[in-house]
Formats: sequence, structure tokens, C-alpha cells
Amino acid sequence: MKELLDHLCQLARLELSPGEREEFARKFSDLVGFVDAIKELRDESREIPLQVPKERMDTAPDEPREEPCKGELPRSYRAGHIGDLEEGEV
Amino acid sequence: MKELLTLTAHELMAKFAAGEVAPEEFYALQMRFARHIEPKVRSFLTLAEDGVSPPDVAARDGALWGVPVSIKDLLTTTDFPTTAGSRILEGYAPPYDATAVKLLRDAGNYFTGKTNLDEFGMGSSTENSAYFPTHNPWDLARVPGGSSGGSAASVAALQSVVSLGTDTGGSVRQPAGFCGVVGFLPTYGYVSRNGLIAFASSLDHVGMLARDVTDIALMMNTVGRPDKLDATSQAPADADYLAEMNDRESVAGCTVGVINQMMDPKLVSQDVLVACEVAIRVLENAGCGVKRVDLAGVERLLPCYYILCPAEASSNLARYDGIRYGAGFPADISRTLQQHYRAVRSPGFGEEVRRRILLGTYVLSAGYAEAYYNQARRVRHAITEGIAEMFEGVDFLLLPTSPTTAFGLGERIDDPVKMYAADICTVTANLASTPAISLPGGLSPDGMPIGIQFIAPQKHDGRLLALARLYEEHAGTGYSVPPLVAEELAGFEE
Repeated sequence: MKELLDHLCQLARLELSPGEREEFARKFSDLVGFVDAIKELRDESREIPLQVPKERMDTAPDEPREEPCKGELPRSYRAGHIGDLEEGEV
Repeated sequence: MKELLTLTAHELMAKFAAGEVAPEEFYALQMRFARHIEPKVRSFLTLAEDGVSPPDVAARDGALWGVPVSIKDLLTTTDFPTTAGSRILEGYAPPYDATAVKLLRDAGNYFTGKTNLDEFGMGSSTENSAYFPTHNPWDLARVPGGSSGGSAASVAALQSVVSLGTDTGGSVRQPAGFCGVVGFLPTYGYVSRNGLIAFASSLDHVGMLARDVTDIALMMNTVGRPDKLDATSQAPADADYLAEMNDRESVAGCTVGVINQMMDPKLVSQDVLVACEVAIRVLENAGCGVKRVDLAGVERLLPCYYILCPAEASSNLARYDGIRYGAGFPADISRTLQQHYRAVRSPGFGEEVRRRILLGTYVLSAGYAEAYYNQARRVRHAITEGIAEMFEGVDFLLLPTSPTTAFGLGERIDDPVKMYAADICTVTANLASTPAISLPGGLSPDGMPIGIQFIAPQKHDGRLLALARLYEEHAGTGYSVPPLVAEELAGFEE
């Protein structure tokens, strides 16, 4: 289970601290057991339905918002980072 | 004047119309009491400041003009931060209002603030908020339910008249049941999801909480509108939910199906079973037919839900990479991009969110997707068909909102499987995309509210409200002020 968790963390771009790994693995194992019930009910006779019904597949044309977005993040929120980049530190 | 705080929205609007109280006067009173009781209940992540402008008089004909509304902090707002109950979005200032919020704003509503929730809506107790848990106004040692626990508590504790919540697997109805208020889940697509921070997009609904069914109809008249900014919007443009609620002919002699599997004493507590049996008698006395029906595959509901939901969540929450949203600035440029993602996401998400992202990643990963995800999609389809078949024999379904009354704070937080079991009665409506409503069904012997749930076929929202109103009139178990709140109100100096 710990190896599986490491692999999943890598895929999901997450990390578990050493202190929480064991407890997390135990609870995760319980959860996998919980959803495993679905495998016992295997039913391949049904087609997998479309997420979006066929009649709704045609999307509406893109239209601009009537009102412009407001509330841009304050400049100070990112100024330091932009400055670092401009100084060629990357 | 403080007695006005216990009124419903429509009663309050009658007072506004008669000139007995001005909306701005009531709002000021509302906010003073909300602040007074907040340290006990902790419904809000952000409470509105003083000095809010009065609503636009031009919108005076709006369905809920001047009524204070609280908003679950999973819906974007331009005048309050939107955190989704997560550290990763702490201080996030969205550049636009969610469509439902905008419709309320345009209709002349006051906002009391942003309510607490389980992080990204993932939980059934509001204990998974990254900030603090909310307490049940009926018993501060118990949970208010979740994930819209802050919204339900704010309505029950007289901190707002109505509230906007969201419901992915019962997140409006279950807390409504635990707090003794009304919680409504509209048909999927009847309220726009534009501006709802996505958790599991095929199951997410915007819903609402109020003290009676009439207020729900008024809320639907405001927010239940088509929206070109939501590709799944399918709300009728000219629906009048208040008129549909008052159309008694539409429910005269209707048949209500009681799902046998949801009345199993092994699943549901004795107190809740008794309340359901009383609700059945109420319906019979109101002239409805009652029929016992079977729902096949009840054992598949929760595994199906807890595969689809984390699968969609793992995809939706991939956007929180510390670059486009939330924490992550200024970046430590000594790190690689992958290290940056992990450094932001790992402390930014709480334990339950990380667990669901990892479970979703697992059920979608190569070699497992067929066994889990595709199988769950087939099961969902079968459940939807099964529910549609049931509605060929009955008009509505009745079941408990939750198998138990509100449980204690901390009682289930360390056992996710036990926590998930609380959703057994509510996930059906989300999986089948049908409307559902939870109504107060009386109190248990230890004084805790019990929720009674009705489900209707897709797009029968107005008719469901008509049945709910019929039940409400005959049951006599509507909203009452929790004793602790009544005590606080008595000692509150205006």
C-alpha cells in the first residue's frame, strides 16, 4: 500500500509527511476496500453512457462576457516574483 | 423589533411592504445578532462589514428584495474573499460573481457573509474546513452536517434568513436535516454552476436553505434561471415556482413511494424510522396514496458515488498548482516546477481532500479505470434508469434525509468510511440528477431535528415544492428556533 501511495502521490503532485504516512495508508486502504464492492458487481452488458447526452453535444458559440471581469490581483502579490525573473535568476 | 429575526423571508417582505420596517434597518439588526451569536455557532468564514449599501430600489419587485442571504464559500463573490474552506485559496479574490450570486445581487438582496464548509465541499460534518468546525445550533457539541453546515447553521441560528448552498452528494439536504431547516436540491442544470468552485462537475448542484418551502420557491424564482455561462444549464426561462408550489391540483391524490431499503432498521436509527412513519401518516391524511417500493442495488450507491466523485475531484483540483490560483507566490525559484507543485499542493490541501484526490487518481489510473471508474459509470446509469422506472408507478419518493440525527463533533472524523455512510440517503438524487428536498420532520427524544426527504422525477421541481408545501401544512413540524438560539435572542440587546 505504501508503494502504491507513493506512486499516486507522484501522479497527483502531492507529498505525505513521514509522520502521516502510516495513518494515511491505513485509512486509504480502508477506502479502497470500501469502493472495491463495485468490482463484485461487474456488469459489462451495459454500454458506458456518454457524459453529455447526444442532443446536447452541440455547444453554443463563444460570446464575450457582457461585463468585464474586475478585481485583478494586487500587483504587490506577484511583483517580487516578476522582479526575480527579470533579473535572470532562472 | 428583534422578534423579526425569527420570520421567514416572505413574512419579512410583507413587513417591508407595509412599511413596518425598512430593509436596511432589518439588515443592521440581522448583522448585530449574527455577530452576537457567531462565537458560539461559527457559521461564517467571512461576515459582512458595516456600511453595506442598501439594495437597489429599482429591483424592488424582485422575489426576495431586501432579504439578507448568506452564501456558501464555494460560490465566487467579488465583495468577499472566496476560500472554498481551503488554505490553498486563502484570501482569493475572484474577479466575478457566481451567476446565482449575481442574480441575488441584482434582485436587491443583502449578503450577510460567506459560510463555512468542508474543504471544497468534501465532507458531511463541516469538520473538514481548513479553518474551524461549525457547531450545530441545537447542540453545540454536535456537527451541523455538511458540507453546507455553515449555511444551515446560519439559517437555523437566525444569522441570515435564507442561504445559498451547494450539494454534490447531500451537502444541502443533510445539514438542513441536522439543523431543522428546509434544504432544496434542484434538478441538475436548473441553477447555474457558473462561479461554483468545481468539486465533481457531473454531480455538483447549487441548492438553497430556508425556514420554509415558500422561501425556497422565492429563491428558485430568483436563481433558477437559464445561463449561457453554464453549458449544462437547462432551466426553463419562464418558470414560476411560487405559482407551481401553490398549485394543489398538481399533487391532488398523488402517490408517494416509500423506499423499503431506506427504511431498514439495520441502516436507519429508530428515532428516524419513527419520524418517517409519522410522515407517511401525514401524507395519507393529506390525501396522498402511499406505496412501498424497492430500489435495487442500494449496496452499490455509496461505492459508485465514492468512485465517481473523487475521480472528478482529482481532475478538477489539478488546477490548484500554485501558479494560476491561490498560495504559491512569490515562488521559490530554486525549486523545479514539479517541486513547486508539490510544495504548494501538499500543505494547501487538507487530509480529506488529499485522500479523495489520491483515490480519484487511483480509480482513473491505467489498469484500474475499467474496473472502477467505467464500472461506476455503468452503475450510475443503471441507478438512473431504476429511479426513472420507479417513477412510472409513483409520483414521488419518500426516505429519510440521513440515517441518524446529528452526530457529535469529532465522533467520525477519524473514520472516513463511517463518515461516508452518512450519505447513503442523499446520494441517489445526485446520481440520478433529480430534484429533492429535506423538510423538518420533528425532533428526536433527545431534542435533535430529523429530516424527511422527498425526491421527484427530473424537471418536476415545481411539483416537488407543491408536495413539500402540502406536507409542511399538514405535518406541523416546521422550523422552530433552537432553544440555545432563543436564549441568546432573549438576552440580546438591540
